[in-house]
Amino acid sequence: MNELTNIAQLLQELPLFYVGVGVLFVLLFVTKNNFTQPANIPHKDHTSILALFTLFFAIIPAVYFGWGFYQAYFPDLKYDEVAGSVDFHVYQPQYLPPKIQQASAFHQRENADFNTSPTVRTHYGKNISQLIEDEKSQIIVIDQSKTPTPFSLLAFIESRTEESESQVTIDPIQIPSFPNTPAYLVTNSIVSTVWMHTNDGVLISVTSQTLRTPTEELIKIAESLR
Amino acid sequence: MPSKTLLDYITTEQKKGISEAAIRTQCLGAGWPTAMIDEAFAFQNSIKNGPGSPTAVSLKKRSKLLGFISLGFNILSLLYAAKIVMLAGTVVIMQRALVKNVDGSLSFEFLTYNGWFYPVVFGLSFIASYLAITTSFMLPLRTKSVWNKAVISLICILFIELVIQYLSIQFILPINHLSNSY
Repeated sequence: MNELTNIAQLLQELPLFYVGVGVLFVLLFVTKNNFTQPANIPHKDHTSILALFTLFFAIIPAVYFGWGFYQAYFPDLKYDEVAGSVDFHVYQPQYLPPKIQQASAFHQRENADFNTSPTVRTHYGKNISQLIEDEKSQIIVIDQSKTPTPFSLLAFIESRTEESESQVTIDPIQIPSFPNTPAYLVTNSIVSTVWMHTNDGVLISVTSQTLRTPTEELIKIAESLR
Repeated sequence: MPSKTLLDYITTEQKKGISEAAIRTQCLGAGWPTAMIDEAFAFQNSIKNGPGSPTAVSLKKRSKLLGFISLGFNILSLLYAAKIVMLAGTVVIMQRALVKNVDGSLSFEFLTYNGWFYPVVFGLSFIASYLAITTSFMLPLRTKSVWNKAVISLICILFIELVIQYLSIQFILPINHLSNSY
């Protein structure tokens, strides 16, 4: 049994590809003197096999990869699709911190707080190359949902934070581009969130990791929502 | 296949010890076209270097060895074709996994990271596979140029494999580094 294991191990460690190519080289050199046929002998035409081979192993995969690259570099963020399927205005940020880009399409989630409408969520973050370079993730999540009337933003935030075990601070803030709109910065040791309730009845939260995204950046993102 | 009459004549004259040049002159004088004479001599030489030649392997052994070479090239072709299928399959599986498990995932987002890797490896694999299959098809001709092409193809395939190995390391190292840092 041990011998079998050893043979299996040896086979795994043996670079079979290089051994195979080496054997082919040796065989070609051994039979070199047999390659002396006149060059004008008519030979079988393999065009159709090569055409099929090219179709299956070059054209079809190339088309698939091409389509994939098009989708990767010109992604469908599905804003129009989502904005058309909910009964409130879906806001989009005009500002994002450096190195941050939209990392998900606009998508709907079940609304755990109100039954009025689904929540529209989008993620923003570093792309994979940036993530590898910086070795630290930075994720920003924007949630938007329609609120029932009447609605008190402060009461809503307090109800959400009252069960929190870590220390939470709730500070009222001003968002200059949304005058007369109640807004709060809610911070704990893990995440910071800017909450605001727009005049058209949309509850927006902009959330990120406290240690990775300065609160000023969160406020700037909230300010840039259109 | 050269003319049998011409072949018989050449064989008879060669047995008498007459030189190739003299036989050629005689054949030309008898009205045989140069191309047919060349063909007959080439055929004669191939037989000489064939089973009876001290430098060549026996006919049975030769066909076995040529069969092995052909099989080797076919395996190489299949290997790279399988590499193409695996590469495309990986992309399909990753895309499906993303769409199924991550809400709002952007299609083919992973291709934006070192995206060059996939088309480059795909292209190289196709070239290697194509070289191997065309060499395998040409081998039964057993001409000198086929032998040269087979050797060149093998060298190209070896080089392509080394490039693919190098690119794979360049592609995987940063990801391993990132996953280790987490």
